[in-house]
Amino acid sequence: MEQTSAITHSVMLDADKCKGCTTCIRHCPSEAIRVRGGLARITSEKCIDCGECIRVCPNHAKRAVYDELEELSKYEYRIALPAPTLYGQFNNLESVDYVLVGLLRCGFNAVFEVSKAAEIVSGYTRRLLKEGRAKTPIISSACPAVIRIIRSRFPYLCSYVLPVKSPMQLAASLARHEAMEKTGLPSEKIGVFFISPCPAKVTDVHYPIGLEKSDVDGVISISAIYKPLLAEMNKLKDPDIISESGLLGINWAVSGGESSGLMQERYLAADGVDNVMKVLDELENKRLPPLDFIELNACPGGCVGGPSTVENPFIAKARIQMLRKDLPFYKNDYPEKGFGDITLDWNDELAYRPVDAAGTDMATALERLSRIESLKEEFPGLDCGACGAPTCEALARDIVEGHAGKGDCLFFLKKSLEYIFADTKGNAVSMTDENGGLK
Amino acid sequence: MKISEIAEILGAESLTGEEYYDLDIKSACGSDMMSDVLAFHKEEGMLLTGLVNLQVVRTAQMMDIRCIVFVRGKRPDDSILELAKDNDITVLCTKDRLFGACGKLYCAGMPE
Amino acid sequence: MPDNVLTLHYDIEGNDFTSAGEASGDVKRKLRMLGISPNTIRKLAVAMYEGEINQVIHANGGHIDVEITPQLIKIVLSDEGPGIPDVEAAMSEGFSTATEEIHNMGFGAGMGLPNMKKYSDTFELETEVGKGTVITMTVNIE
Repeated sequence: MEQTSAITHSVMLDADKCKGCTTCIRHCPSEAIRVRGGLARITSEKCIDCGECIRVCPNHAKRAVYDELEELSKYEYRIALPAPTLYGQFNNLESVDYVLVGLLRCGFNAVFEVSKAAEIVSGYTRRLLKEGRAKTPIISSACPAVIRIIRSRFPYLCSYVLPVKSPMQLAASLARHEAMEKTGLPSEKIGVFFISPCPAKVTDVHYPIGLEKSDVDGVISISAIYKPLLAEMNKLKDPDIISESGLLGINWAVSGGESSGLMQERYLAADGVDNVMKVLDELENKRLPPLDFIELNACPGGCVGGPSTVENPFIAKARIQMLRKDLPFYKNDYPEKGFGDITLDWNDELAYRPVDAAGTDMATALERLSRIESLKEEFPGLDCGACGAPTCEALARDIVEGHAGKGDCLFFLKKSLEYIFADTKGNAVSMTDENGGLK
Repeated sequence: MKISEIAEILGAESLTGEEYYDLDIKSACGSDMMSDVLAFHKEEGMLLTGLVNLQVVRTAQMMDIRCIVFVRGKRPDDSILELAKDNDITVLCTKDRLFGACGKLYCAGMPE
Repeated sequence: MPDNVLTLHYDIEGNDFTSAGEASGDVKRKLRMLGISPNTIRKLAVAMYEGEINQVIHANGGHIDVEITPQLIKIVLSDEGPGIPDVEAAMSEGFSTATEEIHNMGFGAGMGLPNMKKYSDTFELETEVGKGTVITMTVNIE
């Protein structure tokens, strides 16, 4: 995948399919999309990769940029890191081992379950809480879309974000280390691929937050691997038992799963990007409630609701419930002595990175904001989206920034035309008759 | 670019609104089609046009245009000037044709 | 439009708990756009939110006027509510006249006025029983 430094997100537009319908602009939680010249355009700095636009686009014109399966051939030794969400995609799955062995037959030399790393992260978080080493309530750092929301909009909450590797990042570090020991190969000959339900993880690999570099080399979407994997799985009879995780790790696929891994009740779990924003607003507005942990997932239902999954999130969730029934609670914990060179901690705590500054200095920003406020008054406040901006306020802002004109507002245009062509006494003429038809 | 500089570049005569000569104009638009002005005009700008009627001033008013230049020496009547005056719009008049007037301003660094 | 002052006005509905906090949310968003420091935003958000909630709970609504200059943010909360009979008591932490119902909604912990004073840099309160209350707060911009 070609990524320039300017492109820091993983959701792209397929211009051939886009009809300029404005559905996406109204659903984008970070107001990152505008329809200009009949095409939706995504502002890179504002996109948080939540995938809402992929879900709502009626023309399927939004897509996530993943690595292709062909990328595997670049590496001598290839490791798959399946997200636990993958297990919820298959009907009548008897055990996780079908998926894991299936992956080994799809061109991978090894698998490392992300759910295994998840159990270790849970253990580490329990330890931080017990030792009082984290500021509570801890906000989970597992969902990269949520982290991007917090760092750009909730400055006060940044220091509450758990400064610990996500299960994906930890799984990659552990898997790479294991493979190097086992094969004796240098790091660059080992390819670590995450099998992902969402594009936010792609961005998190290329531009990791809290880490200098990710140990993941590529990200393959669940939807891309689904067919070849299913074909291999169908050929299997009684696969070897290779799974190393319990129900706790697999539960991370579902909203509330990460919280249940803490083995206590003082938690809150919210999912869906709108709900997440509301919870964050509440947290910032009020004093924080007496909770130890806050789990937030941008996708509805948790990772099972990811935009690159194939199965309905509720069905996937039910299947994960069924899979758990014979499993022990957990099989992994953070070891007393740690993992040697592999640390779970981030380099730094989450830093506030505002993206919506109105100007470089306070005076310019104030002047611009005043103009935005007064311009807004000229628009109807319907937030209809016909101008290509999600709200009247967003249009006012685009105008002040020089990206749009007042004439982009259809209501303003009609009002103007009626005024401009008023009779000589200045009485406005209506362009439409009493039935709303053009005169 | 200040309105005074614009008047000088175009050798234009001021018909009303000389008190706004120090105002900074950030962009310009040249057209006889008022619908184009409505569709393309950006913030804090001026309009150059060969069309002379009340609708030009009303369009300028709706789009927050602060300066109108009538080209080819066309002179608006009093009702037009009065409406412009009421809305704090400077009106200039130049002998240049629309293409030439736009060209001179563009070469002097006026953005679109 | 005077230079370098942004004025905002909000009308607050009484007893409407679903939209309570919208005005402070909007101001918070604008302060972020102005590039104001997280600490200042937090102070202002808490002080204004408490005032907004007070208007919703006690005063059957009111008005909030916000003035932002490069140096400070001024908030004037005015209402035509019942007024505060004992200001000294109301200013002490934990003092609450909120009903059981309001407590059940998670409000009325008796921290409203004390928090407004604590999080603002200047705080003035004028109140008259039966007439209403006007609170003027400022938060300096760091």
